[in-house]
Amino acid sequence: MTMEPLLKVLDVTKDFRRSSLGRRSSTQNIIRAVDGVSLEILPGETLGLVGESGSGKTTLARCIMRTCNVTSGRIVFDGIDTTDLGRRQLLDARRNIQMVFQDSQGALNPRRRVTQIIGEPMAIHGVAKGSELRRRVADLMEMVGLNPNDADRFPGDFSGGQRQRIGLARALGLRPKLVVLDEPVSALDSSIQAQILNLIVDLKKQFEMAYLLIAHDLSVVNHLSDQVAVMYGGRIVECARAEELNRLPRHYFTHALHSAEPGSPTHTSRLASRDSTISPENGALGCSFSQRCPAAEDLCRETVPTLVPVPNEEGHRVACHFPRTT
Amino acid sequence: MAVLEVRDLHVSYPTERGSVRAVRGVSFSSYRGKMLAIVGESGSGKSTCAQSILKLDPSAQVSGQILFHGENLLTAKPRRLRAARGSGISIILQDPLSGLHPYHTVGWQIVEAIRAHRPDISKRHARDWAIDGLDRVRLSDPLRVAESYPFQLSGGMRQRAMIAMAVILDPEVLIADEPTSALDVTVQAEILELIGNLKAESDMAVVLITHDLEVASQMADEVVVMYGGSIVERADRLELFAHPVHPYTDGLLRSSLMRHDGSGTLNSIPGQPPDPLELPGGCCFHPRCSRATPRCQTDSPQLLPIRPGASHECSCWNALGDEIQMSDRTLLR
Repeated sequence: MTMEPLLKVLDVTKDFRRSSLGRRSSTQNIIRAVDGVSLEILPGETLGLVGESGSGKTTLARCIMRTCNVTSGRIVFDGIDTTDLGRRQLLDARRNIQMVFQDSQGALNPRRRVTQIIGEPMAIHGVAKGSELRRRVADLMEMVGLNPNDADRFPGDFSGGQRQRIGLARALGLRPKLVVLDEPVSALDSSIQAQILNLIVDLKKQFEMAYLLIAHDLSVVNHLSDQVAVMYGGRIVECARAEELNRLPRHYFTHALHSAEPGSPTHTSRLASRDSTISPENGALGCSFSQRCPAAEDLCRETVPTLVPVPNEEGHRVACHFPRTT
Repeated sequence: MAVLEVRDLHVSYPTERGSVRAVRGVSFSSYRGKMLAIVGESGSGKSTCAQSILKLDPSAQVSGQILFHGENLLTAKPRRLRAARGSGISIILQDPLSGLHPYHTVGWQIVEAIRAHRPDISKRHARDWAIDGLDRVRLSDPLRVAESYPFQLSGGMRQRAMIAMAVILDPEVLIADEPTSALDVTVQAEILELIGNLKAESDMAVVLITHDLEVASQMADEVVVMYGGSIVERADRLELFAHPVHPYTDGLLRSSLMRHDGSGTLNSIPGQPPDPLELPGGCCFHPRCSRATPRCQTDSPQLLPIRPGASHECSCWNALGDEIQMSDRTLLR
């Protein structure tokens, strides 16, 4: 029996208008940040979403959280289509989906006490109040490795790693089924990163929830994820189980990400230099990676490759006309 | 002989909460054609060291000696310091957007850098020179880049332009302060390679400041590890990564994902980096150290060779010795 996915993203596209000034209706002013992305997350699973800055991964997360509306496509969470939900129903749906942000300083209100910050989602959803709420906050603080005696302090009194723990505690209060982690460790010092990564792993075991992990660092994604999806120019270019992707990345961009990691064993092959920021709107013609791809041929500059299964590798899909074979 | 020698550098800043001793007695030397990496977390004093070499922050109280070809820049006349800046020692900053002026084209800024030090060169000639410089950092269309404003370029291109400006006068020492931290990992690899190539081409001394041990392991000849404003370990690159002896260096390497065998819990260093305003007594690392003894809380260890005559130095009372051979660690790949 196959498990019903917790989250289904179906052919989602998100356009942004470049600027409110100037030619408002011109199609040139439209930037397609996410372009026809489909993915699924099973209950209790971690999906890693990796890509360079500007690849659309954070925009996709915002669409899933519905902090922005999609241009087209559907998002089905826990059997409910959230794409067109109204305020009231959306609030109910969001109870099961929470987010932890990269910049813990910006994500926590500096004038609220930690107890208010962690307790707020529970108060909004009427889960607990008064002394019961305080007790739950204290429990959560303990679970993420904070001292409950610090509950009345302000976010500014904490270090970056501790603030990230506060963000995790706030996300966990409602026992969500899915937590979106947007670059959870990239702003942290190297000696703190390992602490937070371990905490993220422990909490998942404890709470039996699914993660959508967004990161630019392939080693972080590989460490935490079951499935990994690689984004480039607003599209998913490769998707596979983490170990499969490690063993043999099929897409040249994934391979380049691997070999660009400092200390990587295959630190030899290099990408052609990126001449300007890859603007998603340029991707309309052909594969958006073709400008930098070492194996690009005429076909790549003319036709957009679709995401198709790799033969004999279950669950491995790649969007490339000439995928790597060795 | 060392081109640049920093001796017993102390830097402190006045703040509202009192004086911060950001750097406490740091010494290192930089040689032509060699890369020295200074590795540390935020607040370890690594960037302060870099900026103090050029006296970039007027509010910093700096003592010690910074010897450039034997001349102490800290006591040098402003004219001498100005001559050393740019043409003798130059710096690349982490964020190229704040290092480049937003109102001027990249070409204009490089021309300005040339003419500030070489007023004898005509504008036209300086412009040709600037375009050659952009070509040298492998920008594919140097003419177009020269006419662009910084915001029109991608992060990687901006950093290349910044590097072009830094090396345009063939400095003897290049200080790179976190040159790739703001960039994507694919671009990071290109920029590091470029710095390595420029170093080899023009026989520069490079001081690379980074928080990333993996970057240092890939690039540097010698590595200095800083913690709480002091050097805790210094060694040849291969030696440091194969046989770290300071518990902090060892902990950092063990917690690195790149060196993780794949499954299970990561090793991590407990606790937080110290607050520079309230540094712990004795060895600053003792509250987080698994090998700490009562002595570590009261006496500061000195940076000393691990064996008589060795170039590998460490400041720790209980350094990892021969009883733990690092055989369980994947060595430099």
